[in-house]
Amino acid sequence: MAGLELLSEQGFRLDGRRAGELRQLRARMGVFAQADGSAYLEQGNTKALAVVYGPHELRGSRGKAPHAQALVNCQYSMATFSTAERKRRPHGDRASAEMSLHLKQTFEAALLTRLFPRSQIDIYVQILQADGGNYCAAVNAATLALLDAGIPMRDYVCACSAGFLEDTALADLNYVEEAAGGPQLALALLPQAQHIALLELNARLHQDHLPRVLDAATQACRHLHALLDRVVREHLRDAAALLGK
Amino acid sequence: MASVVLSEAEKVYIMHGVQEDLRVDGRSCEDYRCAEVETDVVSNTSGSARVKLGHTDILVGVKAEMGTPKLDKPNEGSLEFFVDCSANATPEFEGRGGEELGTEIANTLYRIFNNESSIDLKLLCINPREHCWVLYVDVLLLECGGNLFDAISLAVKAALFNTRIPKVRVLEDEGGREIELSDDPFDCIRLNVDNVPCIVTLSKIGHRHIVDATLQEEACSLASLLISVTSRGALTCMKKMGRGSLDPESIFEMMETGKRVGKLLHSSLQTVLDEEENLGTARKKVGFLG
Amino acid sequence: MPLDHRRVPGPEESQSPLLFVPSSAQDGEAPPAQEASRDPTALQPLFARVGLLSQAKGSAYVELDGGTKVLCAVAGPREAAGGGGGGGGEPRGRLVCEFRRAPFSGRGARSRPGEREPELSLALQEALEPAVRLARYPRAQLEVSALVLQDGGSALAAALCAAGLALADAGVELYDLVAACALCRPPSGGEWLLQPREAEERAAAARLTVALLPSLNQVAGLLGSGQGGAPDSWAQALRLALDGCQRLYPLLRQSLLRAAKRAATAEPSEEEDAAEAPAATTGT
Repeated sequence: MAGLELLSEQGFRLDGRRAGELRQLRARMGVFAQADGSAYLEQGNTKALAVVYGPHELRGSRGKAPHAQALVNCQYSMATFSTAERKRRPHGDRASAEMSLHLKQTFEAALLTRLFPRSQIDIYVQILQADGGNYCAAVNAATLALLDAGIPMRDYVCACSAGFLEDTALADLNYVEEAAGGPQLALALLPQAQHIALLELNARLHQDHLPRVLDAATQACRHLHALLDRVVREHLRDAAALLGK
Repeated sequence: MASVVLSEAEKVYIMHGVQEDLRVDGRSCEDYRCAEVETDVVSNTSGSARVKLGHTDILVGVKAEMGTPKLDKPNEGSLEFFVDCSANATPEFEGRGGEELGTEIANTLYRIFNNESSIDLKLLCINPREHCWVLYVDVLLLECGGNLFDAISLAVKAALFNTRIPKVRVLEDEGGREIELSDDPFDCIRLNVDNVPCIVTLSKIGHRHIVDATLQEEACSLASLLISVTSRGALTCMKKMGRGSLDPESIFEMMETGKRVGKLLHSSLQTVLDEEENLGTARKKVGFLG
Repeated sequence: MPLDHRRVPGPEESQSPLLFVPSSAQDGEAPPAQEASRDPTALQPLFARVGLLSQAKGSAYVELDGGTKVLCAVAGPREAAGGGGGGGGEPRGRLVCEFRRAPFSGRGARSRPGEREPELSLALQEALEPAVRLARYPRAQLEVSALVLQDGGSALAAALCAAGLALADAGVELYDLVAACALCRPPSGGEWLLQPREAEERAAAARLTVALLPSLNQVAGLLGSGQGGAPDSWAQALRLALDGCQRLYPLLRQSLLRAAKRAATAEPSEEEDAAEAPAATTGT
């Protein structure tokens, strides 16, 4: 990436953000009526839609289902028009299968699955527009959807990506920054409990820098937690107002 | 398809209501539910639209990509349809579960656009035999609350109306042609959607037929007739769906109703689209946040 | 299409020679004189033979004068495969239909022969379901597979007729036989033609296939698209098709009767089979 200056000398990124600044987050809970829980979330230009069904009776083969806890079933798919180049299929390719697995691992760590033995919780995430940080937007949207469905969780799951460029840690990468090919870290955090639900690092990063990048991601997750919390509270206030009083 | 389980009593209740021209949600037999239409929802498409008809929620994105014309039509571009029944709508669609319904809907869309007047495909040709625009019309089914086909056709029409294809120029060089994209983002081709048909599905319940059936009403209906109507009231497609059969006389009636309702549908959709267009950049985008 | 382009040692860019043929020469195979002289309500002579496959539970073969040859076989009722999801089982049987074209059925230039099959399979299923008393076969499935050996126009209609006969031959409980007719409207405008031949069908501006349960007078299947012209032209086409189906019905019944008689008079008389006259329609 020679022509493109990802970080200006004044410390501004391409979209005008500072290094640790998040993209604008907008979200709404309860988008759909038929699902048990649903949420829509925009993180900058990345748009994700999450839907939760369950807990309900196990579907399909019972062989793989754990005995003492609920089965968390995730599907991550991207709309064929979500990317700049048209995608051939929305899901079923290797990348989205991997993403589904990541989501499953993340939420198995956060949900109180032991409360629902012999049942299943479905989490479906659809990326409508992809502009970097798809995993993070998917996790954040799914968290809201799970809260909307009223499924008990240990904590919010907030996810954010971070990168490292010119000795600076950048939070919440957009597509251009992701495509530049630098190190990239995705973190899913349970902010209050300070537990890491998932941590993934791509590309080479010197271990001395890791704490700084991790710190930037953690900080960003904290901010996200505050934002998501506000969305949830507002939604509940509205819902309560609709109920009367 | 997402299905509801109805008891006999519920079915009888719905059928009696239809008989009296008063449906469960207060509509009469020829009334549509209130539809919400918004265009330009997804920014990295050439055109997009979202339609919400009752609980049915459809998102359509149109992407224009460069391709080569088909052999038998060297100076025409083409339309490609793809329908993704996402698991968002119902868990049954997870994995490959939605594919069957998806291909059925896509085939129907191919069928209703399978005539020369719907879209001027010659407009999409860049240079004959070599380059043309291929419009990928991708339908994403987000929630289904009955009457999928009508909602999808409305959304497809709105998205095609919204589609802007960049103008390109062909530069003749020695040793080949080059294609140059116009620098001005507002310099683009718009499609004429006057003749794009809309689908009207008429479900037979008891001795009457209704338009825009909800999931519950669909469960009561054994057979339905799908027709696609242009704004002038011409039919471009006709199809019987469901496991029942229809009386010939009722088919004629349904065709008449379909034409009448279809014309109304077109005019109200066009009004909404024009209104939205006139607002221009002043329009506040609602999307899924509203 | 999954073609291995690497094995074609041609130039990188090539174009079909058909592009450079003047359009008038391409249409040479359908002499306009024949089109003009054709009676739009005339049915093609039809040959139907029931129960010619010994392995299948029921089978039928339908041939049209235009060259369409369709073979249809019915298997079952047998226990429904998979399904098990619904608690308590399905109260109605399932009908599984398959519409296939033999690789040699059409002209090579036909665009993507595999593409339309799921749609036509569904059309077949939706048109046959009203005819079969599925409630009599709980938790069972019937399999109907139609194979188009040669497509000379009106293939779906011929397949529907054959499927109805094959179901009857298999002893499946039916409300009625299925008679089906295809129609098409020539691009120049004008009247709808009943049971088009391949050339007519290829050139058509609009096409329609109608399936009827003749003695109940119920339309079981309807599938058509294209430019219909005048507002009530589709209604007119439907009337024409219904009339055509009614005229087909006696022929189908006759061939069924003949098969039943043949079965009753036992095996030895093989010569009679050969002498059996093809059922010819009279176009009125």
